[in-house]
Amino acid sequence: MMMHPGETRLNDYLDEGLDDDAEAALVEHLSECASCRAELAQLRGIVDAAAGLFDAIEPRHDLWPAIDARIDTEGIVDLDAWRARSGSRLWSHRYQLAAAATLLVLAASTGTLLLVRDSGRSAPVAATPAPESSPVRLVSVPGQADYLAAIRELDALLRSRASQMDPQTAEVVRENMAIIDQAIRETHAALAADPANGDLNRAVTTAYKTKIKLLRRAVELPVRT
Amino acid sequence: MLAAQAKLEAVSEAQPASLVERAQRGERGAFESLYREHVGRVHALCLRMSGDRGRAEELTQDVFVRAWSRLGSFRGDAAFGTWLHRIAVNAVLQKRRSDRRREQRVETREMLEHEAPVTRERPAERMDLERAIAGLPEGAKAVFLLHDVHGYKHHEIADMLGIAVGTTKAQLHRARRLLREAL
Repeated sequence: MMMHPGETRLNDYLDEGLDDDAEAALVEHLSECASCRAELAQLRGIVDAAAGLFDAIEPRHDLWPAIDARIDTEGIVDLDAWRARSGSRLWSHRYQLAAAATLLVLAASTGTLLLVRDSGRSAPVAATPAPESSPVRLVSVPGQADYLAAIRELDALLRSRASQMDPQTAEVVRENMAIIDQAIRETHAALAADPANGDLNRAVTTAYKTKIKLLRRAVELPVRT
Repeated sequence: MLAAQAKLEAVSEAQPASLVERAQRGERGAFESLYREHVGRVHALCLRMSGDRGRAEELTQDVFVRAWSRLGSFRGDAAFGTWLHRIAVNAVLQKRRSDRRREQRVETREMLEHEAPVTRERPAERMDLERAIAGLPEGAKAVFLLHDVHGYKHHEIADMLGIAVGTTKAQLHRARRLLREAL
């Protein structure tokens, strides 16, 4: 009788991973070895039970509305995928950025502003967008310090490259930064009035992420030499 | 294992390619159909790997948002479900790396004790198995779920997790040994 096959061999047998000779030798061993038969039976029980578990478990509620909303604010920022879908490979870097920036900012700021204005029904202070110069209390959201640090770092990098950028590209960046900054300010103003509003908290986070993505795209642009 | 693979193949065969193509052209409705078709399997994987219902739902959202943004890179080399599962595994692992401090095993046991129907038959025995799976080390758990519950082959799992086929086999055998001991 061959030596005890061991765990690996038994698993391979169970998963139909042995060649014919090895399988025949193992079967012969099993016919004479009660302990290996018992071990194999236990393994088979585990595998059969696992295969009987539901491989699909529906969430407690429909997640699509939230996904749909997030796609509006986050899901269109993958420029490569977006460009692949559009089938165009001929855009210049400048127009890539302009398109990305516009999509980013329109998506993020539209969603954010709608949210802010919607929340304004119960929070009158948020109904009127805060002017740029008005002081806005920054209500802390999770990860805010990290977002602000990343924004500062990228902003400094962008400023250091500004003089080397194509003027039209720099203007696109500047205009879009102004829009997203306005969205951030308004969301913070609304959040100050309604700090427990989960949607507003997420909107602030989304706005920060959007700004970071836009800054990253801007600093990765080629500069004039 | 064979039954699990059959489940996977059944899902793959049912996958209408045209939905993917329409979603790739930007049709949100087509993507919603894909979501409805795959959400249960994606959520099940996120739930068992994360051990927390709330987190599993967040991760499931993340998976579909990422999938939408990366649809342009899906070339149909694998089934769409496999591609989604790869995104799901990466999302779970990435989330775990960024949030090491949570005591997931405790939460998992609490979750499983209150989870609604997770099993098909002999619910008490299957519930024991769910609890035992939840207690597996992360690497072994991921491979066991993908292989024995979701029916993926070792080379597919190795690709998803970025590890060697030999490692996935070793992790699977380890998981089964630990489950035998636990049960």
